[in-house]
Amino acid sequence: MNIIPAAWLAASLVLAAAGSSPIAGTRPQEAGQAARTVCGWLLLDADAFSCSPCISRDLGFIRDMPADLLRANLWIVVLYNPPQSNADEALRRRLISRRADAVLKAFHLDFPVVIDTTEKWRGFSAAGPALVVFDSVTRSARTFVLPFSPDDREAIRKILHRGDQPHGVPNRL
Amino acid sequence: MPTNTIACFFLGIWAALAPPAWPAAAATPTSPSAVKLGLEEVWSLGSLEDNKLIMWVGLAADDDGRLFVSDALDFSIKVFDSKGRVLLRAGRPGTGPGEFQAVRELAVSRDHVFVLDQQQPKVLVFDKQLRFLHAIPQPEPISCLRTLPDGTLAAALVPTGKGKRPSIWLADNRGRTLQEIEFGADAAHPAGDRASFVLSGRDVVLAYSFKNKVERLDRSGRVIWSKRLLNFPDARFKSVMGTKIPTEFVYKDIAVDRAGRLFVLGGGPAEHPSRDVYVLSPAGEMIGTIVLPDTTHLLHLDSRDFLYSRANDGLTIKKYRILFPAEPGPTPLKEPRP
Repeated sequence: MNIIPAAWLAASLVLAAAGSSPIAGTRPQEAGQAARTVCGWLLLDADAFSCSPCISRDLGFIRDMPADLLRANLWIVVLYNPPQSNADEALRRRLISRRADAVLKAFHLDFPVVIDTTEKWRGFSAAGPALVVFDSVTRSARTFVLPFSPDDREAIRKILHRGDQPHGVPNRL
Repeated sequence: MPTNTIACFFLGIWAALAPPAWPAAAATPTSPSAVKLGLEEVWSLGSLEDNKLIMWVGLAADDDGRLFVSDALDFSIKVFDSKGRVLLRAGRPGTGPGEFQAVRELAVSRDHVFVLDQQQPKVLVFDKQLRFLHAIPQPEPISCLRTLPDGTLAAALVPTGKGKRPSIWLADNRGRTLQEIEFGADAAHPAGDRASFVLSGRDVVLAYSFKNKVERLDRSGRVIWSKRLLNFPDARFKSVMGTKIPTEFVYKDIAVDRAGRLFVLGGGPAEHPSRDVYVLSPAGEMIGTIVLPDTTHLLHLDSRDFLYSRANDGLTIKKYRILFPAEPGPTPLKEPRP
């Protein structure tokens, strides 16, 4: 578990936005969405969406979390390194979008999804799929690597409960 | 998690992720006289413009022309009519009855649909309306699933422990063993004898996954013939923590048509990996080759000899008619004038 300064995270978010693309078909991506707050980012590698046991495991941990997390404004960030030169790149990207959309639907998870190609998020998930949660009291973000331990679950629950609503930081994506 | 499930999972991961051990030059068929056969696309099912398929992995057609498909990332099984329209869908993520974690192969009989899930050491049995009926425990991990015309379930068992040979397990729809046909020579490493198979008449034909070998057995397990289709040595293994691990699929799947011709899908060492199909006579002579337009992990021939394969990483099913060279026959009679 890492504690990440909020400023670094915010900077990463701004940088990531340039190379991130929302997936059509998940939650509507509307102009007014910029005013919403986001309190967590689940970072998953694009390869997980080619492996049903992997994605079952990763999303299973999220689905088993307290209802607070499921109600929270969580974003799924799909980390994708496009090949340097590949004529099929556009198709690959659309395939990943389609798969992510379908898998979340199968798990009844209604979170927005972005595909990130900037590498800015990679550092947060160097140890594997990770959940980055923003702590509104300490103004810092904490990273929890899947699978969550009981301590992780408790810490996530506490962060989500800390302070009154709304928690989170403005969504810049 | 049961040991056989773990072993099965890692075997799949090894095969999928291990770097190729083959030399840069692709292997060529051992029979230079094999002719190239044509393909005509009949239809294509599933695209980015619809939600019919997400990443399908298993496919079987029944005698009524319906297609039964397992869709891994949709955690479901689906039925399509012969024109590609969705008729039925069942399944969701989970471990309960009728739920899937990693749905894989399926096979259909007149009354049942048999489904494998990589994370569950069972054969899941559904009726043709996709209602879950019951589960059959797998005696050993299954590498390939088929049915006989009389509804008998047939599965290739690959033991994880040493000392037992792989076998074709014939069972009724309750899992009661009818017969076991042993194959493979290396009981010390039975996983190395993993194979796909088809039932052709009274015989079994095996396409070994990690050996350059296609073999026809009778029901007593006696080898009728054994062929190497590629100019290439046997599979290579590498040692990881003292365990021999195959590095790539040599042959990925096998299918049989009504005439008994065999269609073997080439893996890593093929000139066009996962696209080259070697067509053999029932006696094992190579009579032709097909190059599929897209890579696939599976070949299926329906009861009318249409060929099905995968495209777009599992988003699409392609249905083809195989074009054999015209054979000389009697001169057609002229139509009589009215």
